[in-house]
Amino acid sequence: MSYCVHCGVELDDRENMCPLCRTPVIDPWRVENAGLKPEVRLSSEQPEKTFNKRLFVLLVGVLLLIPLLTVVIVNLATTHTLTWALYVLGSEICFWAVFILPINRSGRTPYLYIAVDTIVVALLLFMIYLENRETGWFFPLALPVTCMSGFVVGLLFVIWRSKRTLKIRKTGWSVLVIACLLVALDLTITHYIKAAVNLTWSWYAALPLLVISIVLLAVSFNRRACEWLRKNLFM
Amino acid sequence: MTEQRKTKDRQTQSSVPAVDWFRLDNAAKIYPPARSRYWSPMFRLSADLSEEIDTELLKSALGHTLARLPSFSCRLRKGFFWYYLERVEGAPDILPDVSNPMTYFNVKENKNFLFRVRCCGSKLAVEFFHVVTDGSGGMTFLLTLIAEYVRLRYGVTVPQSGHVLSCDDPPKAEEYEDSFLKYARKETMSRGERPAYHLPGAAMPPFEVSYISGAVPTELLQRAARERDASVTEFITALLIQIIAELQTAERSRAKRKMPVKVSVPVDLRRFYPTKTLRNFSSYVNPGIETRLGEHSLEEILVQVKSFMKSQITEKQLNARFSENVATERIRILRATPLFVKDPLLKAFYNMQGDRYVSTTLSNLGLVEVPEELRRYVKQLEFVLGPSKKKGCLSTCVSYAGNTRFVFTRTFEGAQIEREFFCRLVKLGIPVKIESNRR
Repeated sequence: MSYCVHCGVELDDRENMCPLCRTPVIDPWRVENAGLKPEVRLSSEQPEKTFNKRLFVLLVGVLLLIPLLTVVIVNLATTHTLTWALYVLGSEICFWAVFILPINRSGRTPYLYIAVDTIVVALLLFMIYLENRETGWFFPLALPVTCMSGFVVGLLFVIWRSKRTLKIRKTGWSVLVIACLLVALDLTITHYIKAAVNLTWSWYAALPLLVISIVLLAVSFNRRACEWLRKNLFM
Repeated sequence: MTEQRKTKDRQTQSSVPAVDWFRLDNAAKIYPPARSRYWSPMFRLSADLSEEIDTELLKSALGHTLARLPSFSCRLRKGFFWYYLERVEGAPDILPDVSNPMTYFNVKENKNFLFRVRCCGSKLAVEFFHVVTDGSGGMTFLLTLIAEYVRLRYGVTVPQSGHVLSCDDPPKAEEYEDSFLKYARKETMSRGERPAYHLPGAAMPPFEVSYISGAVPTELLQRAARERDASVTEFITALLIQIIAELQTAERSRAKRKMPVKVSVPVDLRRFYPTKTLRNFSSYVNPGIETRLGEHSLEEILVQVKSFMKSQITEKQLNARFSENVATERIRILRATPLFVKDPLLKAFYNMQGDRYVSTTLSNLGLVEVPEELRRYVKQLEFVLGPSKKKGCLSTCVSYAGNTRFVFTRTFEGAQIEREFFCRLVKLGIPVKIESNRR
């Protein structure tokens, strides 16, 4: 039992100083008298630092509206119709969908955003195509390339989100998917330019990638090779 | 009655149809817009039990208590015009105690429940968001929970009396009625008052708070009050006013030196009406002194406080005060305003007006009586107010088992009011035992 020499109040045995005047408690018998239960130290509760995603998304939205409104007004004032302002509109929607929308995601899968991004990019290209139809490039070239790219990004997410697969195997599958994408791109572009189905430039990139992916996948299925790599290449 | 039979009965009773949602009561309406990440209007009731608490049994007791008191099993939802409370199933987790309770409250982390149960050794604490209940309703919840825990742990059935309700009884509709609406009349009274003096101070960092509690023998405190022909509440209110008025003289600003010193004293309206509600049903009075008229002795302050409280704490006065709030709530244009417009306006109103008219708060829960069967297991009770937005210091007291426990909540550095308050009690011959959370 201790008393504060300044305040005259009795202090709880766990107090090291008077909470009222901060005078230290000096009790030479304290250690000998400490037949008390050990004190449970209570931790202090602090909230996790959070980033106000909603506010950020809203703020960026408002910021994007300013240049958009400016170009729309200028475009309408000069040409009395919307022409080049549509490019700004499309680009801003693209920027919003690709970079800003995923920031506000809460528990949703990324596949929805990949699908949205693919559709938005395709729509932007289609809008440009409507202004520029001479060569008919949208349906044979732009749309398949956009869809293929979206599909491959989705596939890469599927590969890297699987929790049980080894990293080396994930890398092997990813390299293989990229090699396939290059081949598909080559076929689409060649078909559009030359109206023929054959491979031109993609050989040079796809073949080494194919070899790398086969090596990685083969190693990933061999436990001893895996262990050897881990032992020698850890960082 | 066997345990099996009782469980069966409880299951049958819990199937009594209860309302799935209800409107916020009149006092609670301001709290959801006013809260923020850094502040939630909360209070905490805790009890020291005779033995270490078995958390598994406590979980079961909590489940039974929530089935009995469904007004506590609710979450806060946004309607288009007002917030409302919606029933939720299950029970919140039992959390470990912390040194800075009530500084941060995220309902999502608490399974959306608007109260938290904390447990550390033999100490059981429940922290309530003020939207759900007031001090009296909170005490009923805590003591009912403890009674149920004691029944499960020791097999002792605590009879229903006062704040203790039996978990074997079904929920009652009158326990979650909005008594403000029920008893409000047409006659209202304006709340116009002069802004009060606020003690200055350096704010503590966010999520830090100081709780200093002092336990004094109730008998000696009552004797000191009786000697001055006052009640305990009147006496300690006068003491607080005197301390703040003395600290005000050190104020540099002349305008601030002339502001009145007032203490907000909550009044339980259940004393005046035949209600059994466990939701908010309290009002407040703000006794104080005009310090610009000169230095006041404790006796002079007591005369003012006593006459003020005698004239203000009457059914008619209190009714007119809360009827004014109910009338405001009923204004058609306010009702028809969407919540997304009302929300920031109410927040701004609370920030500007909420704490403007009082220097501090003294909430006295009074003498808590519990049945003899429960007294063996409950060593002491404590009542703590969460930090205030503007008032640097708040105080509470509750009397139980021969001790009155004061707790000062402070978010400003220093402990001037607390030190003066307890030192004056010591000088009056009342021994004080001090404890704090900032060791």
